[in-house]
Amino acid sequence: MRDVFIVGAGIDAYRPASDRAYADIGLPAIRMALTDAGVAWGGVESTFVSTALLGVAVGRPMLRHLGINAAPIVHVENASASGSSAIGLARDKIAAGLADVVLVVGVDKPAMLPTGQELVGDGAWPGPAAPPIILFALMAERLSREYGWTREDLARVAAKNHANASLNPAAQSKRPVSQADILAAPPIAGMLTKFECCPVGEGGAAVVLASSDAIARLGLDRDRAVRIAASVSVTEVHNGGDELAEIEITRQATDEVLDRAGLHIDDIDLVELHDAFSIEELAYLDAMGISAPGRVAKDARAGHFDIGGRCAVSASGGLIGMGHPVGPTGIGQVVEMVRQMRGEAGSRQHTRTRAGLVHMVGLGAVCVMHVLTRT
Amino acid sequence: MAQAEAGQSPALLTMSRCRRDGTLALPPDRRGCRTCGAVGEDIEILEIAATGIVLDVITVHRPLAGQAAPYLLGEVRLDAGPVVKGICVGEVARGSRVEGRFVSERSQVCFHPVSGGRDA
Repeated sequence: MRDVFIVGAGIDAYRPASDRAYADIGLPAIRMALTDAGVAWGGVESTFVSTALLGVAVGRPMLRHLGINAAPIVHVENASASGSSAIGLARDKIAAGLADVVLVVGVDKPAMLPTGQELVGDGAWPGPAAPPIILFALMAERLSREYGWTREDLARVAAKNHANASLNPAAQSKRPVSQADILAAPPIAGMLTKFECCPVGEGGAAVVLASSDAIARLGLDRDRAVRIAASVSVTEVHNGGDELAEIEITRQATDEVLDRAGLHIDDIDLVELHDAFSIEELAYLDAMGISAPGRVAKDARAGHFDIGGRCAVSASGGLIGMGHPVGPTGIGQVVEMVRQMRGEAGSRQHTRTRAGLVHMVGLGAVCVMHVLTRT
Repeated sequence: MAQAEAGQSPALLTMSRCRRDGTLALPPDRRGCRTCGAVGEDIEILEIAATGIVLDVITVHRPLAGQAAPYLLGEVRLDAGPVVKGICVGEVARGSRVEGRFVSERSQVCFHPVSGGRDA
């Protein structure tokens, strides 16, 4: 397998739904990524379009405005992990030697589409529909009991991510929200308030991936390239027990991706994490083993996961702060990681990041993770 | 799936048991066992009573998913094995023994407290 590098990154700021057409959201992100890479559209040998909510065959009506290119276009839908899976597929294609330069673009606008579980018609349990906030409010209830985590601990996660987002021009949440503001807000379900739930808006994000050969052949800037050291995807299996699937697949994916990258969790300087709800950040950090068992909330209180801490978590603002437009989300995480690793993250720049972990969970459930490195 | 008539106590639910590996499923795995893939006559359809123990319960403060708020939403381990989520009515807490009763106007099973709980 060949080494694969991210050579360009672009983003169109996440924001609440507007009347902009999706192509006007995706194209600026693509052009920014191509310019950042120094790659012309004609040099792109394959494109993966990540979208979950727009509809059928949305790639070509957008991409044709970049000029003629007969290379393959494939659409990727994997719920919240769509963008992460698209990057994984692009990486595989280059690693296998089937392409040298691949574009990955995510674009979406909010829409309510039925899920497979709703369509499958296997006779649902005759209870109420349980939207994600209810499932994660139940997770918060259980884990706060089992681990001793408090409402204050969850509010601190959200306050950190809103603060990080306030420093990120691409983020949907523009103003900092204090822990006190969050604790004073009325809960929506269980202990979760609106500040602890990710906003779903519109957005676009793009990255250009290239082989080492292409970097040399096209004269790209190797010093700004970030390596995808490993990329994995793990799918939930039913186990008949009461394990929380999203946590279990995060634990498995972390072990697998670090093993493939030849790294240990202590080597990781920055994590971009799937925090659709505040409880998820503590749950997944614990599963990743980023703290000694039972210590993750204490470490959070001590600032270990703040920008400048021992391992920053979601310097971008995460899904809670940066937003979760779905198709672009996993790509936007990588855009952030690339900027942090290059030292181009402006006022939210973390201490030097040599190894980063990117994590998304999608309905299914699936967990997609990458390790990015810079030497 | 709830075979019971409105108000019958407790509601009867349809689930499946795989004759090859014993996997229980609710809703039933009519299309094939989620563990071993067995299908057809290997999938036994069972009726079970909607009785169980509350594992966790939260208050939902907003009218989510068409339910008038506030309401209690509980995670219940049924005596037959599966864990389900349902609306709870009355004095229900973690460890409460509950039974689900079918509410025809909502086409739903809602859980009510019964005696003998607090052993979750």
